[in-house]
Amino acid sequence: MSSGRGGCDRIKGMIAMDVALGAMTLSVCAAACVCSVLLLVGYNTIDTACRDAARAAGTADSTSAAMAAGLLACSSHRTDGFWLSQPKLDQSSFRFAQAMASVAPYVSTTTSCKIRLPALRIALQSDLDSVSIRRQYVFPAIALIQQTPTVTAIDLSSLIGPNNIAVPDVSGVIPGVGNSYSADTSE
Amino acid sequence: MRSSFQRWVIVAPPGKRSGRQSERGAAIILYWAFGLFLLLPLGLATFEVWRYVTASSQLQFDLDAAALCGTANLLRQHNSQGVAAIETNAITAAELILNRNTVLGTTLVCRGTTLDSVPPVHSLSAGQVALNATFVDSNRAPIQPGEDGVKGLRLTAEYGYKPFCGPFIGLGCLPIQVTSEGGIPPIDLVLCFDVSASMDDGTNITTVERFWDGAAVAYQVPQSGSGNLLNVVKPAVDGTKVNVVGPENLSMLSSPLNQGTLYFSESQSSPIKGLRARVSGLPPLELGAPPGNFNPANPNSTYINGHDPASSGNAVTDLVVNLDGNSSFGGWTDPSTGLQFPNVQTLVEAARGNLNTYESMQQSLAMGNVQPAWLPVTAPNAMYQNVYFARAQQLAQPLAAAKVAAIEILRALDQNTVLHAGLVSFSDYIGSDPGSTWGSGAGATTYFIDSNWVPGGTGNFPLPLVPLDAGQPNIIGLLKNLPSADSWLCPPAFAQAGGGGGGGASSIAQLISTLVATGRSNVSAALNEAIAELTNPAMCRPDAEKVILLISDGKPDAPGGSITAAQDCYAAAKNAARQGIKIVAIDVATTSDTNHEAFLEQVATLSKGYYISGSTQAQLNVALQKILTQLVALR
Repeated sequence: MSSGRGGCDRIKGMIAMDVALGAMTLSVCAAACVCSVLLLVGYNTIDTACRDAARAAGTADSTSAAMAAGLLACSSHRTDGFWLSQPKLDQSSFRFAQAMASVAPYVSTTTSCKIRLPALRIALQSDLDSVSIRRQYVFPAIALIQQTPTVTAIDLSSLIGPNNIAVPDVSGVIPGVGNSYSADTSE
Repeated sequence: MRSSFQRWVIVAPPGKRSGRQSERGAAIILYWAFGLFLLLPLGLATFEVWRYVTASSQLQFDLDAAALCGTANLLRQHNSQGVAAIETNAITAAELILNRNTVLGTTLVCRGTTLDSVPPVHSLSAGQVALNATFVDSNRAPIQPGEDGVKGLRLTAEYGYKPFCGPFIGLGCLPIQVTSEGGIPPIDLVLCFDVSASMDDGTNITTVERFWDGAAVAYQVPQSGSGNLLNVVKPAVDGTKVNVVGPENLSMLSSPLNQGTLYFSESQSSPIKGLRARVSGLPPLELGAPPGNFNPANPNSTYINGHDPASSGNAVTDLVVNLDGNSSFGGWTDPSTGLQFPNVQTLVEAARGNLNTYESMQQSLAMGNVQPAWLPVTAPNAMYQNVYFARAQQLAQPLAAAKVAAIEILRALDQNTVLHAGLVSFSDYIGSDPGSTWGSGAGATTYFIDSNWVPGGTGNFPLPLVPLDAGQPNIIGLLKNLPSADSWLCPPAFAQAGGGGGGGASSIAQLISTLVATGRSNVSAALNEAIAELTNPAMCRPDAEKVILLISDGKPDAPGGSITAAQDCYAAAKNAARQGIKIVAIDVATTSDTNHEAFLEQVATLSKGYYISGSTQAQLNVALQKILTQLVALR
């Protein structure tokens, strides 16, 4: 009996250990997966936000307009706000080239966001549970491209030929005079 | 005592394991083997794939940015640079942008650009980029570097990608190749051109009272009778209805809407009526054709036709353009014919046509053997009247500036894209064909001077409409000869017909040059016509950018009042936005009026287009840049 009961206990213990070990392993794996997914999603989010901000800022023709366009584009990328903070356009590192001498004036945008990682929170048991990631893109400031064509003056007089001049046609009868005469073009 | 865990993981000596333990041990070994040798590599492989895809995606964006920058550098002004220099700039710009970007956090290093039609395969180290550039024409077909007709830039980048796991498995750099092509799409553009009466309000003019003083024809300029037309007429709101060339509508000098004190003599009752010339009643008729209020039967009388000119100081018989362009006329000589216009008297007589022949000059000025001292030595000459009006049309502002603006922008656009253009000129209404004239509409007049002065003659004032033509061939070749090209921007059918307003003009450029100011401003009619053309599959191209170029000087006042008319325009602008049509509004007003500025800006904004104020060369350049650079796109 005791031998049988001991075997049963051993089996139960082994099952319990199986479950405990499996759960632990799964938890670690799950946490690693969640963290990885959060990191990848976060990276993709600020990558896309940074691209859109760069594109938007690149169409502007002044620093303020470019900044406004970049901020607007960045804010359009919504996140949950807890695990993944709202992407921010780093205004201190924002660059808008005003130098018209260059053939490639550019705008440089940097976005950043914080990703909260559950594994860090569990492991560290503190608020230091997030990582900050940044992304930078450079885009041409299209409106400032030096080579954009300019209009060249055209002499309007060369287009106004004899047939294009608005002159009065007064030949014929003058109403009310009572007789007619040909006055050519004179009055 | 060993725990169950120890029993699982510590392999017991052979022969001492139970069958169940062996199974369990094998299972756990498989478990870890699965984890270590399958899941981990799978996870790494997934990460590697994600990393590769991300690197490709980032490289694609970087190359797109480079292609856009390079393409924007391909835009150029007419004959400003050689094609080779422009292409070199484009490639340099693309490389600069590429070198400022990163892939997976590593700054790109462009090791050079080739110009092969088929991108070569390189052996690249990690982070290096080899660029290949191909210039393409409007059909996106490759063309040789230095060859004319470049409309786009195709870039192919090959990047040395270093896999994350590469060092562990002995894998070197993998190539990532991406392609990007930038260009300016073809443009279907309808030019909506305002020819309302206020379009010449910035012209410097002189108003004159011409009369017989008993001994000779005399000329008197009323007080405040010269200068800017707007300042002379002094309209309370909006612009003047008076024009500097026919239809002059001189009666509108005394419109109750004006604050000025001048009036057209022939719009008054007798005895002021008749000051310009006596055309009714009994003889004696005036000499000349007719010369003015000269009574040959009583030449010494200062009271001609019962009227004393001195008592009508604000009466105006003539309005002439100061051909020197100044507010106070100081004389001008036509450089091509040498005809002299030394004084206001010459302007008046030339505009009347009295200096064209000796007979008309002698009769109209009641000359005996002695000529007036002011008469220029170049009179008479058959070209006098034509030279006067040709020059007057060139100086009619802002109309003349608007004409130049329209032609210059169309020419620059055509230089850089495949442009199809149409023209809708508008005042009270729009025309129906290239030969339409303003006088044919309801309420319009054909009188050159005024409806109260029929002897002043008539005219057919052009209001052309040249419809957009989807089948119109590329016109870039024709534009190179501007302004002498006769067929510029002209639909072939119209050119063959030889039609056109204002005396048979046969191109849009020439049609524009013939336009004169008159009537009200029906902007919405023009916008609706332009939208209809730009959305008609038979008239526009499906792949073309749709643009309306609206050139105007102010708020609309037709149909209905200004409020209704403006609302119609806003509705049209919203409709344009829905159809993907941008309105580029160029404000050529001579005065700074926040009302009309706000109106045009609102129209442009509602259509997601652009508003440009002014018609100077610098301001036109801004307009052109806004149009073109916003159109530079990836294909």
